[in-house]
Amino acid sequence: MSQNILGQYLVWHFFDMPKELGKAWKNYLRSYFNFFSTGSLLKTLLTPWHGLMWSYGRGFSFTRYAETIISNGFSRIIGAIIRIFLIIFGFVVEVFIFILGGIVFFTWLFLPVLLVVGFVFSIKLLF
Amino acid sequence: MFNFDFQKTAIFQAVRIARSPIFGVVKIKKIAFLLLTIIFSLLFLLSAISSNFSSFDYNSLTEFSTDYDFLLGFALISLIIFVICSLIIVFINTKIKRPSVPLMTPVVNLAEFLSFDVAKALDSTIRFSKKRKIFPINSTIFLYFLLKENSELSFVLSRLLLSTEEITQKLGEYFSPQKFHDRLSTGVYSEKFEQTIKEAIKIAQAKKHKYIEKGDILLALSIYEPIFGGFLLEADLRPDDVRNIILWQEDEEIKRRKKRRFWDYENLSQKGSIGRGWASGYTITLDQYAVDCSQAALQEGINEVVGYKTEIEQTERILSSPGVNNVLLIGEPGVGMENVVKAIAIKSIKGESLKGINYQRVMELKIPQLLAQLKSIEEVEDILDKIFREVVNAGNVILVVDDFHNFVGTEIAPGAIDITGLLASYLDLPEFKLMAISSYTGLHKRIENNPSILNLFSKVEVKEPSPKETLRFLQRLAPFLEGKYGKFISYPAIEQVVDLTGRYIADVPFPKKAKDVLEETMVRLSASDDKWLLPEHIDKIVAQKTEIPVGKIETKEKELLLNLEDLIHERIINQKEAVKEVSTSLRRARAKLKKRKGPMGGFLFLGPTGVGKTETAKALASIYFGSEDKMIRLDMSEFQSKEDIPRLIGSSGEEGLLTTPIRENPFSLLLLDEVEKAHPNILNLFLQILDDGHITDGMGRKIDFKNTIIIATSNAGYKIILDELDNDLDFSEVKGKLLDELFDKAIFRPELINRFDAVVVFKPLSKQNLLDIAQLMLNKIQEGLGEKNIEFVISEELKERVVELGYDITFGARNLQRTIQDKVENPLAEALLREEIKKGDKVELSAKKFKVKILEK
Repeated sequence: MSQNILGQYLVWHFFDMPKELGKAWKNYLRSYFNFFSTGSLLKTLLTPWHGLMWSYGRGFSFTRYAETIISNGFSRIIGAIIRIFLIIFGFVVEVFIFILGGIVFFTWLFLPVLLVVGFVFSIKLLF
Repeated sequence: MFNFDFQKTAIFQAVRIARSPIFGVVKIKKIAFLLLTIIFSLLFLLSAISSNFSSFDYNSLTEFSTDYDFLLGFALISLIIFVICSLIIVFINTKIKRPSVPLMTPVVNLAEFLSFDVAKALDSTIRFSKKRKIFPINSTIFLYFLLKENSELSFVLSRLLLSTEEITQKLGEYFSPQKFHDRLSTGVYSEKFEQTIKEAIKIAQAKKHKYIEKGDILLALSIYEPIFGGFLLEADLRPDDVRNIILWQEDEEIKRRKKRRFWDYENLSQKGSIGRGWASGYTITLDQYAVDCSQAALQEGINEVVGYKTEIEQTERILSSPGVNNVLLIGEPGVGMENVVKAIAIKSIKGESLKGINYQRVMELKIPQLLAQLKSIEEVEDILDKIFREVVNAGNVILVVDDFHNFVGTEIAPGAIDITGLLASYLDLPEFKLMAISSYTGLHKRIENNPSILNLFSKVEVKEPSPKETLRFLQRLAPFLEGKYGKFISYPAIEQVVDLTGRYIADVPFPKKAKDVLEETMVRLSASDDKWLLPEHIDKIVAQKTEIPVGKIETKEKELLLNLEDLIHERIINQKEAVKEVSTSLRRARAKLKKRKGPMGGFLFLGPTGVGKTETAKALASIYFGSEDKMIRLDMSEFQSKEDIPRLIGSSGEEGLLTTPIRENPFSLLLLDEVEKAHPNILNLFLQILDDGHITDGMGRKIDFKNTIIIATSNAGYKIILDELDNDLDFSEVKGKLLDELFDKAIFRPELINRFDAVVVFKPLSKQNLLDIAQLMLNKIQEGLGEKNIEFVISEELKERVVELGYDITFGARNLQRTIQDKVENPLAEALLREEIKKGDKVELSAKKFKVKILEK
């Protein structure tokens, strides 16, 4: 029975729990990706800010065309700058979650080793 | 075959491990070493800080490290033991207590499917049975330990208003080997135990449970365990009620479990998002006049919507279609159309819907608010145009407009405007997604008159939820109301809400009517000392709302039915056979000997005019429904052509003379006077009503007649009655002859006659009957004068004279009332006004000239 339990423990520690931790890690990455709207902002990176567009109007006028192109260009540039700001922030958070998740994941995997090493270290400290 | 070997299962091992003293010690150790870790860490830190403050140089730092190493060492060892203990506990709880289960085969060991809690109760049962030498192991002891070791089940039972203590006490009385003498059982386990396990397996499979959970076992025990069954019977509960309450408890448990798993995407996604608007256009004007349903759903804590699965799926499909994607939600007001909107908003936030819907903002535009704030129509149209442009430009908005019919093809009125012209240009744009909400009346009256607009929508009919779905809806609502009002809601009370509102409130659909009654009752209950919401509380509120004596309907109705003849005869003279036939038919119908679909009772009264047909109907309405006002009277001679059908069942813009009063007051008596004069097609409508108990009105609403008594009267063929009685024919033969005549002359079709519970023939009245009727009528005057302290003497001569003047062979006793008014009431009223009669007088009317005489006392 004890052998059976040991076997079950190994399956649980090195298969079941890492699977669950992996899922949680993925969930955090996905939810923060959505929280900072990274996907939508990337897709609309160069679209005008809040859809603000100037019309070229009827007939051809070089100055009006130039004005409109510049205005619409600025609208796109402003949009891109603000969006990039949030995209970068979201990206930093994602990197942080990725690293933190990795630490948790690998700490769990090496927990038995860490416990043994910790135990030996603490015994050394005591004696 | 019953293969059940508990001791050879993994779950049995799990129970033994969990029960072992080592596991108990681990739990204590975990807490103890956590405390030690904290204490040693704090001591170490304090020492470090104090030594740093006192002196700081390199030498002292090395000294410190050697002096306080033991503190750090103890802290680390405590932490390691704490982590190991935690690991053991989590491992046992998540792995050992939840072993894998084999595939279901006919020879599989059924004990492998037991959940940990059930296995633990079974282990206790086996130990107890062994100790007391009670064999075979039986379901009674099993139930005892199941209840004792699972406090959640006590709460389930208390919701059913059952006391776990009383049940376990009663079960305990049966704990002796003699009481379990069971001839049928041959194995280790009793026959009832075997049946319980087999039933529980079926229940668990139906619910797609991996294990047989405690609720599955409790439900199976409610079917097979006789003592528990007795308790349920006494409380008027059925296993189905246990099933519902367990579903409720499981539902709550799943919700709690889901909430605890904070790392699941569903929980993480509830934060919403930031910067979503930066990817879309401005909606400044829209934000000013709209409510953000997505934000509201987030603030509410994303409570999932119960039911409406088909409607939600249809709406999602339409909204995400590449072309025209506008939805017209149609249903009765109160049917819960807003729940479909809410479900779309929730799915959109979570990103669980289709591509065109995910992460969109669901915004409800409040046009009446806009109309109230702006002065001119031009201004309103300008703003609306701006809003619609913003919606198109934003590209992430699903617009919702409630009461859409108010804004289609209507004249300008408070809260109404015609926006179709403006809207039409936007509706065919794929970027413009609109969810319009309308009632059936609104659809038929307004929207259908504007086919160009209607064609730009796909209709989704939101059906009234079934009583079962409403029950689940109320169960979901219950914890919120319990928290708000600080009272518990019992399951029978919730069932009573669904039952009574379903039966007696017909003009509002589910779930609104049930929700309103439940909330109102909770408000009232919060002011009382009662801790539980009981069915009686619901009875009171429904009785007040409907003016139907709901509370004691059972006992009151039984008394009424048993004494119906006597009660009717207090008002009806003669007609013993007729009254008896009505009473017995009604008793038969209400005793529900057969499954009944039609109305509460359906009767055809045949007989000459003035013999008491209408009076009997009035008496029945007054006795059975509490007032003559509960009688809905229709003169069927007004419905002689096919074109009159809309008047009867309603049409767009017109309420039905039959359907609307019944919809508003289903607990009524419907009197169809002179039914033979109605058009045959109209009579066909009554075939369905008498057969199925319902009809669909002109606005597509289902009108329920199940709580209605229908009485049709006719004097067709009355001459046969008179002729046959003149020839001294037995009255029982008259009915047959009369019906033959009615069928021969095609006055009624046999299928209509067959659908009535009884065809009742009323006899013509004899002189003695008329004298008795006159007496009854004069008694009423006597009572009225008696209240004024005036004694009115009714002489035999007066009665005879009234009958002489009032009787007519063709009109029966109908003229009697008028004669009494003319000849008796008028002179008495005049004498009262002239003050010829005073308080304390004793008066009489002369039979010849109807003059008031004051008698000596």
